[in-house]
Amino acid sequence: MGADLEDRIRSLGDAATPSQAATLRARGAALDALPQPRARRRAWPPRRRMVSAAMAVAGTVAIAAVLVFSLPRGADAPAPGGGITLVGDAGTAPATDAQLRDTARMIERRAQIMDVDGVRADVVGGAIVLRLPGDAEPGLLTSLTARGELAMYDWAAQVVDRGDGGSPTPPATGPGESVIAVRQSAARTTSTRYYLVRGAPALTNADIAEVSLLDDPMTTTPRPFVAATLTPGGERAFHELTRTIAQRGAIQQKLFSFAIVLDDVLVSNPTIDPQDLPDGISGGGFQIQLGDPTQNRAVAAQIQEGPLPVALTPAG
Amino acid sequence: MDDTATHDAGLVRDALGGSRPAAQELFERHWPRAWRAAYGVLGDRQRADDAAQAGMVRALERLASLKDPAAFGPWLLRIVVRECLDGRRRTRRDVPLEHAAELAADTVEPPDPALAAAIRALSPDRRAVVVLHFWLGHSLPEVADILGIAEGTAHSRLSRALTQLRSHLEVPHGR
Repeated sequence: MGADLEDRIRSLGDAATPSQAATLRARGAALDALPQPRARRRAWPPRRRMVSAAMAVAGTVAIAAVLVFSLPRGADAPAPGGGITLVGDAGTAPATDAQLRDTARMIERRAQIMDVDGVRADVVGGAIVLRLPGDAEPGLLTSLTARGELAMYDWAAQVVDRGDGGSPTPPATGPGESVIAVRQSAARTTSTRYYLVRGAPALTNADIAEVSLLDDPMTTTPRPFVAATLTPGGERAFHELTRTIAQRGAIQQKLFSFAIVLDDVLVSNPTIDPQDLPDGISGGGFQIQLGDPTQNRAVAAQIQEGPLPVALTPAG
Repeated sequence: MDDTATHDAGLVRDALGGSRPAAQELFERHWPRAWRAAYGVLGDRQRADDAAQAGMVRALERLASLKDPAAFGPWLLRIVVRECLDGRRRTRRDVPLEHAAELAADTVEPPDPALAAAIRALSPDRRAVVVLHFWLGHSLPEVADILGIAEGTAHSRLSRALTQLRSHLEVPHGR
């Protein structure tokens, strides 16, 4: 019957879905088209810049580290329904009650961003008592309590010991120095190498204007992104960082990269191809793609909320 | 008015009031259908990306001009299809090198290549009717309204399109 042809036509239509990249571009453009006075309204990066940024990041996903959070071993033991007592360290002194209250509220907001119900954080007796839902996924505690410090570095200019693959143990640091951990996976084994970094990061959480967790439910294999847009100052810093890398690459005829680091762990190490981007990436933002939706939600929540005021460790 | 239209009406009003989340939800609800319409009419993913985006941008820019907020969906489709039909004479742009990887990832073999080729061989006007009716599930009166044509015209275009598709695919009439 004619229904056969009509069914074939319908099936063909059902299989037609937009790509994640097209959805991302269109969403940004459409929301910016909404006519309303908004102090924070920013132009979504034009197609060329956005795609280039996406590719720059996506191109290095293969070597991107799996996120490792800094909470001490044992802290991530699931505590469904129970309370976990966490003490705060403000760096040079014990955390104040005000810092702990701010930290508790940020933890709860992270849970909201991650779409997790039933998380409650209270300040009790100079510590935070954190309650998780009974069906909490493994890793939720670390996702909620990780510091969430974002940093971007010019890899070639700021990372030391890059030539010999870093060191197997964290090196000692001097003034103005820090350490990046890079976890690498190969043939069922993982290893962590440590690199010394000199100088301040080119960008930090303060340069992030907004973070979106973007997903395309229409694709058969969803590839979610964490998409960050930058403040005007962040856009300038990102442009300067990527332009410097592009110009160095053009002169030396090789690819250089920058490091996206979260809580001292390398998340991604995108290269800038000077042939495609001779002036770097101007405007807009960047994307991180980790593949695991839970990790993406965690990273989005941490970057959006910014670093916790204090570092948390389990009591006892 | 069905629940979808009622919900759309609320989102349109909120978006007009400055709610970005409402605008984003409008986008999420309607983007796949807008893109599918563009892809069906144009038969080309990259041109569909551009046309659907242009239509979505135009719709949100002109949201205040929408008289019936509950009719956002058909109104958006009208804008997108018009964008496709008006823009179909534009030549395909050269693709910059940095898009190459995206294009590779975006190249999707249709599940029924013979039928896809037959649909591409239809005139854009006929393709629009086929896509709106079969891909997006609109009745022919709704298709006529979206395309701004008489209902009888929609019927005749669909009938001729099916005849042409059967001929192209060598499917016996009435089978």
